[in-house]
Amino acid sequence: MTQPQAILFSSQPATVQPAVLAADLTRIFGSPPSVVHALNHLNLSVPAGKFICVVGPSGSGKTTLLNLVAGLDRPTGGTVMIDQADLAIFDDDHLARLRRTKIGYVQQAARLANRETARRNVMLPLLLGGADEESARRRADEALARVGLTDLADRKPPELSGGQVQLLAVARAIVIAPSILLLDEPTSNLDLDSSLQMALLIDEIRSQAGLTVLCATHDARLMELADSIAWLKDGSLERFADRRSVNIRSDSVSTR
Amino acid sequence: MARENFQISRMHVGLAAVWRLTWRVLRMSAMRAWLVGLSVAACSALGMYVMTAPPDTANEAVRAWRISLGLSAVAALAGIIGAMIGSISARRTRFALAKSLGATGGTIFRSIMLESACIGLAGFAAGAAAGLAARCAQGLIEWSAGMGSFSGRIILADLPTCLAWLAGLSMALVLAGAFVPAISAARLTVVQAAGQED
Ligand SMILES: Nc1ncnc2c1ncn2[C@@H]1O[C@H](COP(=O)(O)OP(=O)(O)O)[C@@H](O)[C@H]1O
Ligand SMILES: [Mg+2]
Repeated sequence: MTQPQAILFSSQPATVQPAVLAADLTRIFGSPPSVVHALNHLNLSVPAGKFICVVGPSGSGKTTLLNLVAGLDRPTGGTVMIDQADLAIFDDDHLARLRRTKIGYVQQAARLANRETARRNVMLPLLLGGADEESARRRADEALARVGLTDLADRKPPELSGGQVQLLAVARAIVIAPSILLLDEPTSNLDLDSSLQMALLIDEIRSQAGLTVLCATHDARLMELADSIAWLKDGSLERFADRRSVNIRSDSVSTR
Repeated sequence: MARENFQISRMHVGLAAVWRLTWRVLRMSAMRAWLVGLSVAACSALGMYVMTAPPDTANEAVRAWRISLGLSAVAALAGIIGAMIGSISARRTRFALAKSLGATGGTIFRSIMLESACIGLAGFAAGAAAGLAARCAQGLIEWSAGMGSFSGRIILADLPTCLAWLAGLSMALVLAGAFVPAISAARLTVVQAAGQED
């Protein structure tokens, strides 16, 4: 709480504000006899414009964390702040609006509208935001071009490969030009070629100025792209380190 | 100060966009849509048949038809509520998809009500046409049996009132049947709706 003073007395610009801040974050699932502490007093600060990889064994709370940051779920305790705003003060409609303007989320199991073409899928968040058909289509085509799916724009998700479906999910997440991009194990179900392609794409996307990326992964290639790495264990932050200070190949093996 | 950062305009999702979302993504299964539509159509057909009856129809017959119209409306309402509850739970993951992309509860509520209204309208029109056709068929039979002129066997004087009345009944049935299920769909959180993932 000394920040205001620090700003007053400092001639330098204030330190980069966190784009995402999880403070004492707790999420408990289930009711008394069998409760799961998916997140257990987690503290994590993600500075704006940084790329953070969240790693940890299966069940350590990565998806739960991303869901809370996306405002898809409410914490049992603690707070999530997005750009210094506590998500607890938002009603559900406000959170929905936040998701279609600020936060792009590629969920672990890509959830797509299977009866829609790829282009329509990408247009959906824009149409939900009130964009007109014409501009939604133009922006969707731009996003599809960015992920390299231009030629498949008229296909439906069931007609695409696993890698292409995942690329489509990324296109749908970036089409709203989010300031925060959440990726939940974007390469976990992909073959080697597709995951390489995905890593290259993520590297290209993150170079966009100001974009904050929070990426849950087991993939060493993605960790190498990160600015910092956060290790989760049993719902708490076990370790947080600058990427350059970690030996990714060996660490990723040890955390698996 | 927190709020300033979040002056996301309260953009209203237009009816056209809601319709597109409904039709392309959230649409209920054809089987359930038929169930809802036929429930409405049955009431509408019965209503049309009763209301166009000639004046010499026996009072007891008119009363019996009215009672069965009332009963069929109650049965239709129960059928619609059942179909809607089933269809909402079958569509949970699709609501989750829409919500995770930024559809509000209000958008989902309107989408379901719009869908129901369209099915109700179709059911009303089909039912009214069927009821009128049944009355015409009976009129033809009675006319050929020498029970008077064909036009005297079908009373169409009150057709506009009758149509308005049946349209109102149909809308009331579908909207009442969809209301509570639509609210529960609008309130689903994405995590509830998507179930557990690993
Ligand atoms: N909706 C839910 N209901 C009950 N338990 C859940 C739910 N979501 C997650 N969990 C539990 O919370 C823990 C963390 O899950 P998750 O965040 O998915 O882990 P990760 O993504 O790291 O594999 C797990 O033990 C999981 O079983
Ligand atoms: Mg997960």
